[in-house]
Amino acid sequence: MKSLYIATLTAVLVALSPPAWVHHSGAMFDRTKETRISGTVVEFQWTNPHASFKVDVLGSDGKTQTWSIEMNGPNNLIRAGWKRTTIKPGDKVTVTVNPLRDGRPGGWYQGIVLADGKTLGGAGDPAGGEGAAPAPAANHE
Amino acid sequence: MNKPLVLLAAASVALCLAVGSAWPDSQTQGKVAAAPVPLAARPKGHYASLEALPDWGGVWVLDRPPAGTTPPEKPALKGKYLDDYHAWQHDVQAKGGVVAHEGSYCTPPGLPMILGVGQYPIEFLFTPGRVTTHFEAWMQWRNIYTDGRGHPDDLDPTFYGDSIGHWEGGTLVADTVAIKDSLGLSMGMKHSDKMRIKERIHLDKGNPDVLLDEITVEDPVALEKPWVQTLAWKRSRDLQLLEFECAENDRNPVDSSGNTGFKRE
Repeated sequence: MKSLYIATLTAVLVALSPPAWVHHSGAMFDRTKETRISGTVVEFQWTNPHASFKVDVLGSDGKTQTWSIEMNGPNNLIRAGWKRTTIKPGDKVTVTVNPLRDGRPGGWYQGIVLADGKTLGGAGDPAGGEGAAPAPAANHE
Repeated sequence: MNKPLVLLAAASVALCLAVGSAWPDSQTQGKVAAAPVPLAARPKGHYASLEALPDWGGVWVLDRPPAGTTPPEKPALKGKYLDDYHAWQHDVQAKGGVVAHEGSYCTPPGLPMILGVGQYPIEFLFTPGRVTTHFEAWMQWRNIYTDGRGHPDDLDPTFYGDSIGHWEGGTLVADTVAIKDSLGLSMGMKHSDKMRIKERIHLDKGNPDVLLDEITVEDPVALEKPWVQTLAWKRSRDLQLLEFECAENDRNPVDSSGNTGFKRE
């Protein structure tokens, strides 16, 4: 598998293009896993290079966990249908993320079901886009 | 002596010292050789002449080759540059895919890598004697001077170097030198200070909503042979460039091992 990994890594990294993760490495997220969480939005940051929001999730043990979710930047989110007003504190949402590898409650945004039932998908990886080479971390599994 | 007066006097001395260091005094002024002055950003030419140029209006989004197609040619590194690339590959493998790169600090990639940035569009502005590219990513700009000037001597290496060019019909032919050798040629690959980028930028003959950049990267120190590839962008007349201030919310600090962090707060 090691040689296969090297070959894959080489193949995706030789192009002129920088990695799909143009601003930072995406290695802290497990890109092979998707986790769905439902809860209440408590914060939304509409900022470059990455927007982010937090969701309070009530666990089966009755305790609330705050998930921190990182997204692409506003520029690319706008082009994927997002607005600065798409979510606000108090909204009930269901979010799909690639979870953090270290087990903390957080992840990379992949899609959302909004309070009114509308859905929005992922906005790609930063500077990735359709057909973009995946981040090196994505090939490591 | 009261305290505010002491502070005021100290501040005045500090100010004088600071001013003194920033400005030549009257005795040395006029004796120092004139510093090379960059050419003014108002090159020769007339706006009417722009009418003859092709329509590169709208914004352009990089069109990556679909998965499964022949990958672009690889840079044929040699010597130390090849060894360093192999070391980088092994490092990335050892760290489970973690790639330390300057982008984590909001540093733009410069040329030629910024040409390969997807998703964030670019646009071209034509003014007399130059073509300006705006890159939405990192809010960067690049000038290609088309007023017949040559490259200045003894250039400071920079992120975008010095670009001069001319029009051959609808093709902008550009030549770029003086790019910082600390920047990447491609991921994990460096180039020398002898790198030269030659470009032929034009609309696709079969589809005027596709812009092609035929790029030849020459570097006799780092490359066995010139690295040739063509990038393509698709036009959108419905989008416009948006602001991108990278340092606004840098929530991903990088530690000394290159690991990108994730700030939950």
